[in-house]
Amino acid sequence: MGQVITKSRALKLLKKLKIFDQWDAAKWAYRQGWEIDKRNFIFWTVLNILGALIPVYSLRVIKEIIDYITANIAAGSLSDIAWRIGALCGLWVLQSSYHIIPEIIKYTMQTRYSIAMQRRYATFVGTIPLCKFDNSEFAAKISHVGSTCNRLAYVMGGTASFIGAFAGTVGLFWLAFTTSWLLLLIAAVFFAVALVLTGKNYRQHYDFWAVAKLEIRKQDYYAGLITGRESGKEIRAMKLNDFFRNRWRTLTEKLSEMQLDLDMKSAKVNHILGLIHLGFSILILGFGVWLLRRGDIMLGGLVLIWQLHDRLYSSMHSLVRHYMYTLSYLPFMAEQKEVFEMVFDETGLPSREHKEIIPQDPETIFRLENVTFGYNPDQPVLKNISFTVKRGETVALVGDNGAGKTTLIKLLLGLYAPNKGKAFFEGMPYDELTQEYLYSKMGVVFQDFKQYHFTIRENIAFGDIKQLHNDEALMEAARKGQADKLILAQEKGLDTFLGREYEEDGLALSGGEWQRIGVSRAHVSDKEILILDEPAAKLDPVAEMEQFMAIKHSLHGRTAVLVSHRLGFARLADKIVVLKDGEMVELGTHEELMKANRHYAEMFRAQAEWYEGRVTGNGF
Amino acid sequence: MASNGKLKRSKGVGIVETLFTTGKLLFEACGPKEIGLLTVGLLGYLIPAGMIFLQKEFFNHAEQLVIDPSSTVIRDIAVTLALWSGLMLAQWVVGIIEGHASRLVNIRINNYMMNRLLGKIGSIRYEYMDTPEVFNKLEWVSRELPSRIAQVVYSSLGFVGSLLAGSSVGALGFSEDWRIALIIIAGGIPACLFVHLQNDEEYYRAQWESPELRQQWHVFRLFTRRDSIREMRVGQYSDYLMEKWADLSLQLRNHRYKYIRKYYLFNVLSNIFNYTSIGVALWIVCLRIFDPVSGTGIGSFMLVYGVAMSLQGDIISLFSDISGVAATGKYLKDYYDLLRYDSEELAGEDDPLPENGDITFENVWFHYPNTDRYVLQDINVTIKQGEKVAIVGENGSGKSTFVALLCGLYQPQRGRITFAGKELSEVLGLMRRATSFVFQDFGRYQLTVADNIRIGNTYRELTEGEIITAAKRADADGFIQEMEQKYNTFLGSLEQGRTDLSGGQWQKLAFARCITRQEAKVMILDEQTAALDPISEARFYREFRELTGDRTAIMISHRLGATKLADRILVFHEGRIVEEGTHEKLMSKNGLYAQMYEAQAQWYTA
Repeated sequence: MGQVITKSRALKLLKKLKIFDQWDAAKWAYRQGWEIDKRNFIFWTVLNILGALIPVYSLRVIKEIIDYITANIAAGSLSDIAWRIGALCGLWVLQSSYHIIPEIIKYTMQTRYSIAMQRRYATFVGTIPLCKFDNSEFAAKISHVGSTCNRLAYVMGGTASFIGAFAGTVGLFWLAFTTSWLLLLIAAVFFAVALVLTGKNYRQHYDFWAVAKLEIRKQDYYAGLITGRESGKEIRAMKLNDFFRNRWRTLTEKLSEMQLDLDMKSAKVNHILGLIHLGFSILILGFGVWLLRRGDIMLGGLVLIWQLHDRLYSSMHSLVRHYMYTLSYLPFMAEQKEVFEMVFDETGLPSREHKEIIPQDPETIFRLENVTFGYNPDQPVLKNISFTVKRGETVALVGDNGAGKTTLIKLLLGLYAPNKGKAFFEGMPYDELTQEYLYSKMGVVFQDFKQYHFTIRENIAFGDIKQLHNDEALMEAARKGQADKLILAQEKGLDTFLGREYEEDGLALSGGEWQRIGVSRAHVSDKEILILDEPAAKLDPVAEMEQFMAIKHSLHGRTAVLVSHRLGFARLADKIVVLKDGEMVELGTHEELMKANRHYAEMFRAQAEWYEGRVTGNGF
Repeated sequence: MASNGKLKRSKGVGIVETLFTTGKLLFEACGPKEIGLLTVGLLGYLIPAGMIFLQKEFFNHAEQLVIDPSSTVIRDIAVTLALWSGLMLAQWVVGIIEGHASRLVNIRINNYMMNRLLGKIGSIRYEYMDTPEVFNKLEWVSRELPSRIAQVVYSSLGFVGSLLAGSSVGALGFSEDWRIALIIIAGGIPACLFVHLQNDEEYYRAQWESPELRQQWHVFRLFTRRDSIREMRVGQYSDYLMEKWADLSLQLRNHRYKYIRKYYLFNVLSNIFNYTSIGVALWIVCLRIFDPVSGTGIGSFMLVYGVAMSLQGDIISLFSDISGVAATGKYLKDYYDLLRYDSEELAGEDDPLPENGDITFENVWFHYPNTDRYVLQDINVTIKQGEKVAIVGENGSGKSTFVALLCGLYQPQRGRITFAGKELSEVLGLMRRATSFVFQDFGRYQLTVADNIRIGNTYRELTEGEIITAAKRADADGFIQEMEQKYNTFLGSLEQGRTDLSGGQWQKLAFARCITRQEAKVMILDEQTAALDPISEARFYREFRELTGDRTAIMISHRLGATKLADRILVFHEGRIVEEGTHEKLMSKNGLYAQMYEAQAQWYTA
């Protein structure tokens, strides 16, 4: 009981001095670092310690040289000095070689820890249920942790440097202890003052960055609009340059003021410490002269006292610096700890295992019973949806933008779990399936599919990565996706690099060309089930028709779910599901729905009227 | 996948030239106050020499004190100590000034340069933005600006400081014993050469790694963003991407390791030289001390020690700063290169708007800067003020390029384009002011809703009423009113929280921008209805005439049904206008247009 009280009291005291209030984050970080690579850390720390102790010896050698000179000036024997000077130089060489170590630590440690943490992060991300990402704050946090997970390297590196500096300081303190009590006293006082002042200053830094972070993002955003390529056309055509530049300028002026203010406050700490050091220097020199006069020390001793005082100052300076440096990264560690320790509720989602699955009802591919879903359960995006898709059926999902079509697709894909109601795939609830099983059966293209700046081969093979080197299979998929001509027109064919950010001769594709590649991705390996979300929105009319026809012909008995807001295409489907405001309002074939003359019919006519000669616009 | 490192290694830029440029920047960006403070701060570099001299005196007196503890000696010591303290204090004061001044100068130059860059880049000819050489350079320059400018500022200041300190301390050393001074200087040379070599390498490495680093980072970023995470999960290829990333990381790491090994070796070697020469110098001074004739006291040992430490440090700093300056010299050259690209000439911007904004293309041929293939061939067309023209054609037929030339974003290699009877290049500013746009890939800016509309007209101050009217006419006011902060809602994620709009809602905002330009003579609409739902789209078509008024309207669209609204339809095919006319005329011709029309209509008619 007594022990507990003392420990927490001590922590509270440290917290009050604002020295250490992120102990948990630090513990976590060290555990990670230790797991990743303990050998190197120990090696570099030991090296750091040894290196930090060198000045202790070199100071002693200088003292001896001076004493020797003063003692033997009359005697005139030089030979003994030679090897002493040699020793001194040797120590200096060692010492400066030691200074390189931080650089090397920076490189080796950085890479090692960064790579390990990034790998951990990537694996961790694979465990996160996708619906979590619809919470923007969560997604931003995950993204931020991803960008900063390599900072463990700085914490470990800073700690290694700190330990070294600490050992050096202890060594110098010991030397001071054996030389002069006043020196020791001065050093202790100085150290205490330094710690307190720097602790206060650290808080100010931290507060500044908390505020400035957002402003800096905005600043970078405005600058990025002008220097980036995407907005180039609009900036010129609509004369937006000055608008954005003025925004940037206002922010910059404000941030510069804040930054200078902060720098002045930080500098003040150094100034105060410098002045104290100055005062103490004069004091210690006077004291040394007094000791010299009394005969307590020789001249070498005076030199030692003076040099030791300087050394202690710089050593403590660097100690505090390393400490603060390491401390400044702890907030990032805290955030990472929070994220990496998250546990997710995966009910209703397919698992990541590998196990044998036997379909319960292979003829009913999808079955939804009263499914309700919303990213925020209080605001459902889909309400009470029920329908089935049998094997071999083609189903069209239609509805206005925001009606929930894409969300429904994600439910069918097992990326989301319904809040209410049940969803079945081949007769089984999704959490009895594995991701491997489910996705091996589905070929998917999303409306905003990812355009990877890699080769065409990779872009298509992402539909089934096992086919990466199967040119025949890839070209077959490209043929079905109407991208084959595009590929054959390139010198390097499938190995053409897309996008020009990393390759000077990369190929820049138009929106329509990218869309063909995306659809080809869905066709790889002729998966049993095809899910296509707006596969032709970016194509011109003839190409759009060809794409829809190609899809129709490629189905041969496969199951397909198609989303398109071009209603003409819905006529291809065996069944049309009509969504409005998240509810399924109609279900039937095109003929049935036109006869029913409700929402679907209204939407269809709105599109069709422009092709039928009778137009209700002005001027005709 | 990695680029095969066929990078042109840049030639060095003269140190003197760079220093001169930095000096010029200093005077351009900073006021007399900053420069004054800086000068005072730099003068502080002369102090160490004085201090070392006083140290010598101090220790000589101390040596005397042991032999002769008389009050005169004590008085001498006290005086020396007092002077020494005075210098220490002065150094402290000047140090404060220098620190503050250099930070101030750094920020001022940083902001000045970025401001210039932004002003220039926004106005250079658009064709430059499309070449990888330019946009890569731009991305690199703007990204590296803060750290590079800090480097050049501090390196330049350090250079001047080291020069002052080194010369004053060196002079002190020479006055003591010229042989010693020479030996010390000689010992420092290998270190300098090495430092210079290392920094050259560093620049090369930064450049070489740049695309590699970006690619590695790009692959890793795929794991942090939800759109790629979603696809990786469904496609089950996270492992593949992890391997790809691991390969790239390994490449980067090996390259870095090679560099480090060399660095370490050089460093140790040059240190050995350094300190050996200091050792020799100390030996020589010892010889003199032990020579009773010379009258040299122990103070000289301290002086040589002090000079050696200081001078060696100064020489190394000097060359390190020189290399820092040199490395940045290449960066500065890139920066100024960017500033040298031609700007657009926005002539006629302040002229009164013409009554007749007729547009003509006369025998226009155009190809993009980095290819030879003509994307537009022999385009001849006149669009009269007030005409409603629809432009159709398959992807790659030249439609968007036609519009880009119309906006003056590119210049044709052959032929000419006129606006209101004058060459477009001579009235570009006027034409832009007279035209309102909705591009296919319009910007979704992270600003408030009101600002997102306001940017439609940067030629004058818009009233709140005008913004709301524009939103209403674009059918956007409805959903805006449903948002909590209505027109002050911040879109995107730069403020606390996040607001997203759907594709259709953004499209309406983009159109509202267009409408704020009441005074425009021409309206260019590129795939204006692509993201709208059928009902909104139909509404737009119905109100088309009313919305466009007596302006010229140029519409690019895939939706051929809507082209019936136009007075004239231009059909593009493989860079040429192959058909022209009203809908009826083109249908009766039964050519390309009729074919495209049927392709779409067949889905909707019986």
